[in-house]
Amino acid sequence: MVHRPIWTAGPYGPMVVLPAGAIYPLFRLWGYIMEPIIGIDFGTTYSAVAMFQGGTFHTIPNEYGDRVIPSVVYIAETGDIYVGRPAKNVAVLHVDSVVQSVKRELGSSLLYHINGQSYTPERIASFIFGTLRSIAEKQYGTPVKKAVVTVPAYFDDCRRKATRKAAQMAGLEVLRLINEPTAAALAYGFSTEREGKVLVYDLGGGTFDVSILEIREGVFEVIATNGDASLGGDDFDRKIVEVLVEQFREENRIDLKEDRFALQKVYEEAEKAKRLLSEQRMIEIEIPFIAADKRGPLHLTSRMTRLFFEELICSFLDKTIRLVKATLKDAGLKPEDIDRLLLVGGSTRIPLVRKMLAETLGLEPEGSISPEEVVAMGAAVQAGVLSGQTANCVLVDVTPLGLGVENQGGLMHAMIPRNTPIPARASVIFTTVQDYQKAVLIHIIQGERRNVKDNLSLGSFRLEGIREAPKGEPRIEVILEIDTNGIVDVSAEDLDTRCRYSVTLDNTFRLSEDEVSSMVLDAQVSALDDMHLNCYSNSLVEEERL
Amino acid sequence: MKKYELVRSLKILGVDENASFCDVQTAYRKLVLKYHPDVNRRLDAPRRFREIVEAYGLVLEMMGSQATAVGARLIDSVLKDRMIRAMDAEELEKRFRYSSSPDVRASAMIALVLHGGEGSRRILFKALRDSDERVRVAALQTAGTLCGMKDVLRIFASLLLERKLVVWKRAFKEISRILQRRVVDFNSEVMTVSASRSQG
Repeated sequence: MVHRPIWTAGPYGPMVVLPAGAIYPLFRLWGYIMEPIIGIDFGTTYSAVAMFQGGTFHTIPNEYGDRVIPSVVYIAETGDIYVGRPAKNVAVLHVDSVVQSVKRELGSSLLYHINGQSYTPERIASFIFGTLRSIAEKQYGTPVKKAVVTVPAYFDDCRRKATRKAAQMAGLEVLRLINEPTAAALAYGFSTEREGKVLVYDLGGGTFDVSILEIREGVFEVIATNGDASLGGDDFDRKIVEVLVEQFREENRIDLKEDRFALQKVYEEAEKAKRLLSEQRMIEIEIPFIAADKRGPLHLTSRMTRLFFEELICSFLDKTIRLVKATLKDAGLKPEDIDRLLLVGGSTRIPLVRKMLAETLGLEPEGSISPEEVVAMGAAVQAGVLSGQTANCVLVDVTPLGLGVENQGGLMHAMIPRNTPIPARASVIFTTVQDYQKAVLIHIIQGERRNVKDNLSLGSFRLEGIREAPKGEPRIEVILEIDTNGIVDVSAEDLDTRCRYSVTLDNTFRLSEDEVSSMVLDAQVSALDDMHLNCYSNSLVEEERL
Repeated sequence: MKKYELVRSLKILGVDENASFCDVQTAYRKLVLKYHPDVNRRLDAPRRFREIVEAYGLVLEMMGSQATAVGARLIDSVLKDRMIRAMDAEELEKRFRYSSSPDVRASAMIALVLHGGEGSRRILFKALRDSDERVRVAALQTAGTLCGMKDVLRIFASLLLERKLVVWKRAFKEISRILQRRVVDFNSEVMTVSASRSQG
């Protein structure tokens, strides 16, 4: 039955009576159009917020006119919370109550103890989300409740969930988590309307991602994605700090690492030095009154050339180039197939990055949008798509990590391989290995390696209350799903009795940061290893059967 | 079983059996714009979208994505060439016929085939008989990407009939490579004939 307007003759002439069922969708449509949705780029060192309005997008400046704010939180003794530049300015004075680079800790069990209270990383991150929200609210003049949030493409399930939770704590409903490189491509493709294959190189403060997309006829199709969840500008800062501290110790026999305030100061100067070195060939670093001994106050002075700095960070950049090549291989493309190179993140201002990429791909980067803001803008475009304000582009993203379950031989049974377009879904049928077995433990893993131990565990769950039967008879279907946010959902069902199992994943065992970051590189190196292992384990399972 | 799946996939994508690589891609993109859960709020949109993605993957696999990717690269390079894009069919034909450089002939041939129409098959056949090997190989690769399965089979059959395969060994290899990937599940009679011939 179609809701058709009914023409009637009213007292003032003919009028239209709409059935109730037709009015409700109209209200909803109105809501979609009127309700502001913002795009948030929550970065390791800097964050930004953008909005989509009137067919175009732009980042929103805060009251100081800054379009990107530092992701730094300062919790004062009075209980006041400062976010952004004010917090960063006092970082040296209040080392203990200032939190930096909280994004790196998202999803871990770390707790921050500040002024006698403990905060989870999600709580700290929620303060940043809250600030971004209020910046947007000032601009719109209405409450903002919905947001599209970006995450590094290489974030796993736990970190994605943690990011979403942080935004929810700030009172934002997360309509979508999108990957940062994809967001950048979206902003770029939407504003320039150029088509072709684009390689996005995203080197931010704490994470590195590389994605290859094909943009055609409004469809943004991700072909392959790779990355490292803990490689970024922070590492470059640390390298400079190490050099400066070492130099100071040789000169004055004082270890600055023991003085946290001094170390914080050195970190800040190192960041400034890094930025300057992108423009100048040689700089002088001067930090007065950094320490004192019997003779009086001591100053740190040093000279650094760009060449020396490049040597320091060379190993990191080599790793990124290796990942770029691996991504090209995944996509089945050659460097000359790439039409455009898009640089994202502040660290891509380093001249060496541009040089190395030019050597690898033979391309000059596109320079139309600022690399710090482009991700937030992409999130705003996606917000525009979701709110129905623009319908002529759609994003098809992929999952960067494979998803599977552990089988009997301690190997990973990959169910959804990496670079599968999301939303994706796969199912596998389990059975029991003992007579009258009552429960099955199912272990969900995310990663690239054949051996379960080398991959990331998303958690495990027990299927309880299996009907009693001889071994091998019950058939239990486990369904793994990855939604458009890249978040994993698991469900299970007994195929014979059609009874559904409730499944909740518990993330009890998680790998440490370094292990996660080195996972894919390892996977490439030890593919040979895995083959041996595969044979070995298969023979084990065979023996068991006999 | 496999054949059934393939036919079903082609139906999901809304293309016929004679669709080319480019047709399949265009059809896929149109469907994605319509059914991606971002733009389609219906409840079954995620399921539809997954079906479309799976069908697309399967069809690409059947077409031999490696072989077609080479051709697609070739066509891309022609599409990017501004000078060629500006020419009309007549001018291209002139270039194709009278140019002494094999590269110019090859790119003109691809552009002509892209222009489409009845003439495109004629141009392909002509290019397959070109004196330079580069043009012949380019023609084969273009055929593998742009033409539907039936056209490729037709070309192959005509080559067989002319019995010039010894001269065009390289060309023959190329086309049989494309065909073997594609025709695994299409039990066309031509294929069985040509397969037995190619072994002999």
